[in-house]
Amino acid sequence: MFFQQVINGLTLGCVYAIIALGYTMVYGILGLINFAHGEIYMLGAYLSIIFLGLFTVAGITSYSIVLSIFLSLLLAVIFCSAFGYTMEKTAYKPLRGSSRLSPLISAIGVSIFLQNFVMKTQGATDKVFPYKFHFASIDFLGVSLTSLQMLIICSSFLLMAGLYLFTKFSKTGRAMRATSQDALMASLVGINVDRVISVTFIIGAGLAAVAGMMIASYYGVINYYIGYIAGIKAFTAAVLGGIGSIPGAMIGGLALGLVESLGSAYISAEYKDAYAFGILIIILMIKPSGLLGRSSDQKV
Amino acid sequence: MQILEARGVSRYFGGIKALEDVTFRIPRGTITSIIGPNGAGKTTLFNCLIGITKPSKGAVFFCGKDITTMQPHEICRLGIARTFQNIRLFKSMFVLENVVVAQHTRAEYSVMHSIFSTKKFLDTEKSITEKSLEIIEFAGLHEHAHSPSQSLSYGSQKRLEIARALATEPELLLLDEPTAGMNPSETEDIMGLIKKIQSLGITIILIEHDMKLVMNASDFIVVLDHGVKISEGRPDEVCKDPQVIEAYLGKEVVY
Repeated sequence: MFFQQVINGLTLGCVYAIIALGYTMVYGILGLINFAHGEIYMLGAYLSIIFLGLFTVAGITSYSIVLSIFLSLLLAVIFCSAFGYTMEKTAYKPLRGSSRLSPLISAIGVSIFLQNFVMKTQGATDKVFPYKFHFASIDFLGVSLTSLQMLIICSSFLLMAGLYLFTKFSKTGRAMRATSQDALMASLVGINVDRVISVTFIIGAGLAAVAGMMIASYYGVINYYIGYIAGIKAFTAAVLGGIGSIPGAMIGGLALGLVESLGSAYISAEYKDAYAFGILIIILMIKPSGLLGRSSDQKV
Repeated sequence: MQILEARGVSRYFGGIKALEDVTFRIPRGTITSIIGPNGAGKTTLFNCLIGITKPSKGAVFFCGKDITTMQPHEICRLGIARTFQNIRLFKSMFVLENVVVAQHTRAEYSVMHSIFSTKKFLDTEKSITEKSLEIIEFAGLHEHAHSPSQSLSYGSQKRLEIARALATEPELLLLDEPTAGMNPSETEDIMGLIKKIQSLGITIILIEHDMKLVMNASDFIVVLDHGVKISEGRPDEVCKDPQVIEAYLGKEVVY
């Protein structure tokens, strides 16, 4: 049972980690906690279901399920990235240079708008993910790892490794790190800071869309409210790992998923959400900068 | 042949006139020092030249092009680089990375190239690294290329700032107090580096308080006081100017 819970926790943790990356990257660069980020994840989950439905109508699904799932993921990512870009340009950029509180309130506004927009257009009832990934599962000593869990864990690790390498070695990644450390200086060595910020939002929103599709297929049911709690959990994960640090968000997400799943198995599932925030409180008391947050300028 | 021209540059912060109608021309290939007592507006002038603050009035021309309203990164791409009075390195990056990131704008590959690690990406990265190492060596930091930038001594961090500015391949380099807080031998080293940079054909504007350095190194001097240009010319002319003496030492009192 222990290992089963570890597998379950790891799966959930991967999803948290991927959402947390979006929080941490935006915070690293703008010092802004993008409260609308959880909503983008919710949007990603809805869009993947909507596109899958469209492909079913179009007949692509009966031709190849894998293809239609891949295509709907791709489209959800593109839509969410475009939304992230637009959101930054319309809701945050005009407020740059004003007090730190203004973009934060704007973010909450975007969040409320998106939740209600989705509720109005898609209905307040649960939506069901139309397909079950149940190709196979590996059973080993009473522990079962389903193909979907394997897919989520593997693709999450690939995404995280990819993002890490991207920030470490590509020119845009370096520009992101430079901007997060000193935006003015970055512009003085020729980095277009506005562009870096746009790229950050695009990547963060794209990742959130992936996480949205993962959760939609994993739980099979979504509603317009999932972004709120997932957003807060992912934010917790980002703070846990040290907000602003990309590896920190990954570790924080995984740790949070594990704690939640082991806590609900061994103590009580009733307190599922309390474990996550309890851990957060403990970490903040012992090491306020988070697990990997070394100093205030160690971002992205 | 002028590389830079400031035409009536004024900058007001509320009622405070940080700069008032400052006009000067910088000939290509020279070292010009901007001097003046504390609060004279030297740093504000630098900020106006490089697009960090926009002048309230007046215009700045670089190679005949009006750059007054351009963004800092656009001005940098045109060929002006600057360093700050206080050290502003990318602290959590290595020495080499600090220089590499400044070559960023000269790298011509897109995000797609880097995702798929195409040949163009690898070749560009390789040439950027090589070039950055050359610049680091030029600045005398080759031993430290792979150290964390924070581990460098104060003097070396200042050099690294200059190296990073050079990596943007500027035609004009603005140095804001490059020798502030340095001992005489470090100052000497920086002076040598500045001369070496000049010999590459790069025009330099200095803000400096070390008068010995200013008098020895500069071809021209611009003197600011309370935001107004009070004198300009060759070092020997400027230090005889009664207005300059007054600004620095005060007015002679006649009893």
